[in-house]
Amino acid sequence: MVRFAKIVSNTVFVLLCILTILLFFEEYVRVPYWLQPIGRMHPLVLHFPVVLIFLLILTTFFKGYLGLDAYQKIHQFLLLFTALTTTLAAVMGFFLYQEGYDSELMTWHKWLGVGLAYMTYLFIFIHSTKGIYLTALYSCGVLTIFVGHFGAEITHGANFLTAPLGASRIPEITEESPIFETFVQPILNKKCVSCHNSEKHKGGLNMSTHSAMMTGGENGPLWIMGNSEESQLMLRALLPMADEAHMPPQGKLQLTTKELQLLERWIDSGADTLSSLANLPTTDSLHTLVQEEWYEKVGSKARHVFAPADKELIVSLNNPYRTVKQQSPKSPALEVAIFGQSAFQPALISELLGIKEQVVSLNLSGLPITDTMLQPISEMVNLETLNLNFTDVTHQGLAKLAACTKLRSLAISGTSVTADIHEVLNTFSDLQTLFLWNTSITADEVLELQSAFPKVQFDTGDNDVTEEKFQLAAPLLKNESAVLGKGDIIVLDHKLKGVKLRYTLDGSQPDSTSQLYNAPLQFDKTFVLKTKAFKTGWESSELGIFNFFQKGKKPEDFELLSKPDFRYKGLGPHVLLDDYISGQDKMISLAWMGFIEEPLIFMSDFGTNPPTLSKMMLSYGIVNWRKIMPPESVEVWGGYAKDQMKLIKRKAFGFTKDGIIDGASNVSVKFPQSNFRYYKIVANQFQKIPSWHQHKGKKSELFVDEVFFYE
Amino acid sequence: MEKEVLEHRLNVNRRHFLGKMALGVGSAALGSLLIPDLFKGGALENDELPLGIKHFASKAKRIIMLFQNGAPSQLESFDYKPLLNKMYGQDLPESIRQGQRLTGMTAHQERFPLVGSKFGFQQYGKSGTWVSDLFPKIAEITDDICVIKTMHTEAINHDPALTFMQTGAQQGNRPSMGAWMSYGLGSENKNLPAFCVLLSRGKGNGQGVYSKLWSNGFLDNIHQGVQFSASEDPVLYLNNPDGIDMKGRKKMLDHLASLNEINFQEFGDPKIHAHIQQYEMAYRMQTAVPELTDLSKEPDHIIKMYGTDCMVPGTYASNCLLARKLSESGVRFVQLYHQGWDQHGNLVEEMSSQAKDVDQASAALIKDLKQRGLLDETLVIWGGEFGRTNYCQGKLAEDQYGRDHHPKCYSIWMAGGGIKGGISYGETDEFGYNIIEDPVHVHDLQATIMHLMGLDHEKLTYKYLGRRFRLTDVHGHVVKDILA
Repeated sequence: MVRFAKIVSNTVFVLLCILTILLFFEEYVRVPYWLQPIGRMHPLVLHFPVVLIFLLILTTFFKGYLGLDAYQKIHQFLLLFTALTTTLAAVMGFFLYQEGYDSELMTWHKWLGVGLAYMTYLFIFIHSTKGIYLTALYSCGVLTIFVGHFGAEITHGANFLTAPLGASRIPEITEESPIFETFVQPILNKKCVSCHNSEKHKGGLNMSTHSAMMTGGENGPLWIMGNSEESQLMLRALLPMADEAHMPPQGKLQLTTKELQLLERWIDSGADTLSSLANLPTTDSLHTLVQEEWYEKVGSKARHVFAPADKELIVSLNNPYRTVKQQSPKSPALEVAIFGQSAFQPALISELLGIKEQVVSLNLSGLPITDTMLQPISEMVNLETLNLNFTDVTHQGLAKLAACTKLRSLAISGTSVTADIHEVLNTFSDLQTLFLWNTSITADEVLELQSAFPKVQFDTGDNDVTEEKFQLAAPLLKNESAVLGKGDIIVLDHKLKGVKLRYTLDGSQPDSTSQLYNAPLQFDKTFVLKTKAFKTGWESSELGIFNFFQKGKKPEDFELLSKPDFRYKGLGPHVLLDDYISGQDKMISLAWMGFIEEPLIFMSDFGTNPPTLSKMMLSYGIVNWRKIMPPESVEVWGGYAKDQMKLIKRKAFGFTKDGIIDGASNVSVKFPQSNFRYYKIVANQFQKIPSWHQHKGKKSELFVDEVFFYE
Repeated sequence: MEKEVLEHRLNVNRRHFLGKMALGVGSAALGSLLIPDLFKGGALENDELPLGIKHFASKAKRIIMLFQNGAPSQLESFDYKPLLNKMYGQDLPESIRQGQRLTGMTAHQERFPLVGSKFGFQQYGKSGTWVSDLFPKIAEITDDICVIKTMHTEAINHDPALTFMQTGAQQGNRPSMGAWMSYGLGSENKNLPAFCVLLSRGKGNGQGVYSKLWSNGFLDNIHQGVQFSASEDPVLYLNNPDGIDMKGRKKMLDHLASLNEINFQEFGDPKIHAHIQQYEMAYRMQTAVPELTDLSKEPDHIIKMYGTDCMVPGTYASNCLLARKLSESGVRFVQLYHQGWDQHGNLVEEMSSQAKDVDQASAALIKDLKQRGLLDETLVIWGGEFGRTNYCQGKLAEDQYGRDHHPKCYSIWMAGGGIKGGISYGETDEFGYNIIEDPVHVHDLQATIMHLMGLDHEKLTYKYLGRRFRLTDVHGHVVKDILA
């Protein structure tokens, strides 16, 4: 043990001698590169003395418990190590210091550290039972705290310890806050300043203040105003990770893409420390970037600090015509929307007074709201978004809202406000957007408003009333079915207001002199209605052509003798006689029956007192790609008993290329006047579709909608 | 001393044990203060997050989804690939295809000749977004939209891909996106369904849409999508039967409600209350719906903006206008389907007429929302279920070609509520076949849409058959770069 102690104390002595020499000739010392790694191990080794010194102090409290002998032995042993590691750390620290640390803090750290090293060496020679021993040991502890703290501040930056305590108080950021101070500097502080500060300026660079940054480092200034491409800051940051000159160095927290963008655009826009959101044009790319950042910062902290409303009150205010919702679970802010023009009552607004402080967004668009009903809104002091589109408010009503100073977005499109709105806008100091589309305010007046309120964005929307004439859509038929009885009415409609509908019934083209439609037409007999829509400023519409069918004689009973395809059974055989003809788009629907394997065979029974009939009509559909074709032939059979039917007429229908257009069509068969009780209709498919068709040679399919019998 | 230690160890009795326990539990509790989610387990309980309120504040309140059913070609719309024109007729290199599976329609093809867009491309707006000549009106709004060129999906056929996009699963038994929104955020206007569906048919080759696409799945049936039809009665079975007036109807409903209330007292099933509410909503819809379908309050230039087609019910243009009115009236999710985008052949002609149908009205919808101050709170999504191949399906002729299904990349665009306008996100390779940068999977898109609506896609769950289901299943990452 004694030998060991000798070796150690001598080593310490040697190291201290070296340290003394080095300190004396500090200015001439040049640390060779191979010694630098030793210097950089300073932050590792320094932990030994810190721990050992405090361990020594700790054992003094258990002196009695340990017994004097053990106490002395422990102290002797530990002291040797303490002295060795402290001195070692001091020497290493000196090497590291030679790499270019120079500041007041550094000076303190250096001399206190050296002092600590000498003290620990002297300790070896003081007997641990002496009174002075304890005093010296405790002051050593205090000294360690100081040396350690200064060292940490050099490495991690000043205020490293206390910074998190201050961080919870984020300073208020407004549009006037300088971009440099609020957005750029925080990035640099976070990612650069730990190595480039007033204490530790690697590469001779200090980035802790703007003026220090302007001085630059060994490689010249940090940035060139307006030229990010040649600015050292950006050059270094954009170098590949593997490059030695890349900053921040590998292993350190890197700059994000967004941060890089922000730095780049800030430098490009002149690196002006005073510019703020407020004095940048909104179209500027820096403005856009900063605004995003701003939203993030402002959004991440609670924007609304007022007290939340009573939960039960919120629930009770919700009704079918009014929705009151919390913005998010933690936010006291409420969003309110009222719907339903016909159900609107002013109480729906005035009842909101119970939550007047919490309402931040109110949507009243399209409601019959007049100026007087705005009174309750004037008490909603935290209101930020107000939608009054297409209501009956005027600028006089808006003038009442003077207390809503936090209003940021106001929508009054489609109202009767005029340029007098000018007087009102003064009161809304925070206003960002005003929606003025579809009002009587002219473009010149908007320009005037814009120059008076440069911070407000005036959205006038799309008001290009082009001179170009557009064609109106064809009139619409409101009747569901084209099958009508005598006296039934035909109703035309058009979705555009102020349209004149003109029509003909004789098959001629309607023009601007044709009969004007102003009341529903009465059906008389089968005819074709041709109609067009007219309106000034528009081109007349395409032709609307509607075929109407007269209701036929109905059999008392009927029966389908063949089977429709299992997929297209419709709602059953009665759909063939339901007086309902649906459009082509509903062909594969329940109103139709499809026959694929078997022909249509339909037996009708006109009862014991049958009417005289001479014509039948079959309504069918055409879908070319599905092989749904007209019938090849239709047979009409008549008889007085079901088993004694005779063919009274057979008619074949050819079809040509031009006649095959997808849609609904019909064929009729006239037969000699007769009054049989039973009529059997057979409609056959084509066995072979003609050669010009895409499905040539295949059997066609038959889809039938309706069967009519006429006198 | 050794003895003391030994004694101490032997003396661990119940009191010591409990004392130690208290210390241990106390310190664990202290530590847990720093780990907020420690004791919450893996998934959150359903009732922990209140339904009907956003999980966090966000801009978007409503969604209008302009679904282009059938998969419009990205190569003729937003993904400009001049190389395909240069390499016209040459085979798709195997190094690019990398054994990608084919549909039954091109599996037999001997060659895969590349074909470029027949339509020109130009850059538009401040953002310089590439848009094809087929969409001149959408080109006018490029600074408001974000084009995502790197969407990709898992299915290669229409129905599974469509179902995947809408429900997050290919099989079709899950709730649709709109149903999830209704479940998570509730209805804004209680006189209308929270989830409405509008269908229109294009002139091109069409693919079916089925009601399973707007299904509520395992969610309560009040979240099901309600289809608005083009007829005089946009909502089926809403009108009073002949011979019953509003007063009589109300009386009947009130009586029905009191009968149901008796039932509720007896069984306490909350679904009974849901039923009562649904009947009453249907009653209120009788006045709310006619207010919506009434175009007479729209100024003429709005009609011109959407295109004169919007005067014809059932067209895409009229559905866009109706979508705006529904959304303006607080409908949480308006889903449009426009059919006819399946151009396996005859692409040049069919795509021209499809684009003509949708271009003007889609752009008008964005402009219209904007001028009413609603674009900020409305998220608009335009796109199909997958993309189309860069090679020709069938015979490659001078002016005629077709494209098969391609799930590996396709383009969509989004606008409004919380979306960064004027950007193109992601890059595909120069063949327009593979994604090389920033892929966006369908689940990522769904996660992003939910995020924009203020919902955490990992936290909005529904427990069914012993498992907590999500729209994004167990996947999905919010695409942060496109958020404003």
